[in-house]
Amino acid sequence: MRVRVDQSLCTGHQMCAIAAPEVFGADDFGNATVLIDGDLPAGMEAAVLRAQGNCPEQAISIDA
Amino acid sequence: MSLTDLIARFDVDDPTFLADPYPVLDELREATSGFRNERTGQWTITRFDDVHATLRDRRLGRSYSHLYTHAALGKPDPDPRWAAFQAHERWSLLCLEPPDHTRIRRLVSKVFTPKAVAAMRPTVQHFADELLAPCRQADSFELLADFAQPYSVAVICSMLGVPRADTRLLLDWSHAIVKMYELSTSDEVREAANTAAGEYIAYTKALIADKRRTPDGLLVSELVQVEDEGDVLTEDEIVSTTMVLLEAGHEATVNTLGNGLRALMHHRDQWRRLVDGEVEPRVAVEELLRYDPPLQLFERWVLEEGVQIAGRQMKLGEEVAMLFGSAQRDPRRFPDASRFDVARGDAAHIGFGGGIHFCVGAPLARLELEIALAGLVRLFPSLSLVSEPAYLPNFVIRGLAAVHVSG
Repeated sequence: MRVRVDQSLCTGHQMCAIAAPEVFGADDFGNATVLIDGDLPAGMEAAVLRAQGNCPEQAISIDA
Repeated sequence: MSLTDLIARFDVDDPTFLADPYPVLDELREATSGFRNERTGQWTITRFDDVHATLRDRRLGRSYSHLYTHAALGKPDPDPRWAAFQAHERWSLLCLEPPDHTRIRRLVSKVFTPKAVAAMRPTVQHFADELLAPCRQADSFELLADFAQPYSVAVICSMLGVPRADTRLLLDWSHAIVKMYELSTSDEVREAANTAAGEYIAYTKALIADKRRTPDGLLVSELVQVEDEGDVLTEDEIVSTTMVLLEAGHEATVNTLGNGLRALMHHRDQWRRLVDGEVEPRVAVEELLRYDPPLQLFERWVLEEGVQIAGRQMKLGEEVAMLFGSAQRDPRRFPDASRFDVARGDAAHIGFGGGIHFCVGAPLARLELEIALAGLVRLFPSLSLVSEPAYLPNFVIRGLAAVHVSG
């Protein structure tokens, strides 16, 4: 599972960093960044799905 | 008019200003990006971009007490007369900052998920149908008392697992409590808010005890049960969280619907676009949230030195008041901003705030507003105002006293 944040949609609510702090961080403008390159380690899927569902801007996409 | 005269017209005790603050807000926003409100000491900002950035700026917070004592920032201790009110919001998500905010928001969003909200659609539809049916039989009805309030409370109660029979109690408490958020309040109003908060806390504690004994899988019960990597909510946290969800869960929704319907009645051509099916209710809801928002002002505290907002150097401990109603009509952000256009469909307004305090109930509010609007349009295509509705004499929380309509 890989995760991406669409920077044209992200407006920096940081909901993803609340749901999955191991996976999402923030750049200098407060917009979301993905901290993990490549496939997510096991056990993080549930938190990432929650982050995706909670994103007010629907900026997070997940590739299986 | 000089800027000083213009700022003086931002007077939350002036009934003319409260009835329609937008002419003053429009002039203020064009004259200045921010001004000092001498009465409250707040640096008050007017423009969309500054409000948008401030909402997301982590150098500001909804509270400072996680970092500094009142004395350290030269502020008075909280008035002990209003202890119950302070207790009621002590663990509210709206008054917390990380790390407590992160912990509680994570637990709340675990049960308040978009999926859970989407599953509410048939229930919400049922409440709308049930409450609108008697309105059809009557010659006229009062949109807020006969529909919007019982509808919104029924929805939030069914999601939280609160008995609907307690609706009246909850409404009365909530109406009294939210007056505490106004810029200008009398001791009498504060006393009423404090008494209501005390009764509301006792009620909520009993409700939580009941859910511990008999879990029902609904939100309050889930908050009691929820565990996230061993983390649980304390009793006080569950009490505050339940209360803020109930309060926020209907005050703002009811006012958005009332203010929005008034705007639709004043812009008959826009109502017609909904009736004719040219614009979907879901799209129109975003314009209702932008055009005459139920929350006009929201504050943040400056938590660091060296913060600059709207061109002004801020000091640690200063308070910034963001004028949402002004920002939402900023022509720099919204083309033809003062025009009410149900097809605008711009969902990136700040009607739900922004940043880490972005409204946790936004998906539920959007669902409720969409279904309510769709029901009104379908059942009452020739809806009209019986009399011109009057706004309640508040600034921060903007809503109408009553909206008498006939179908």
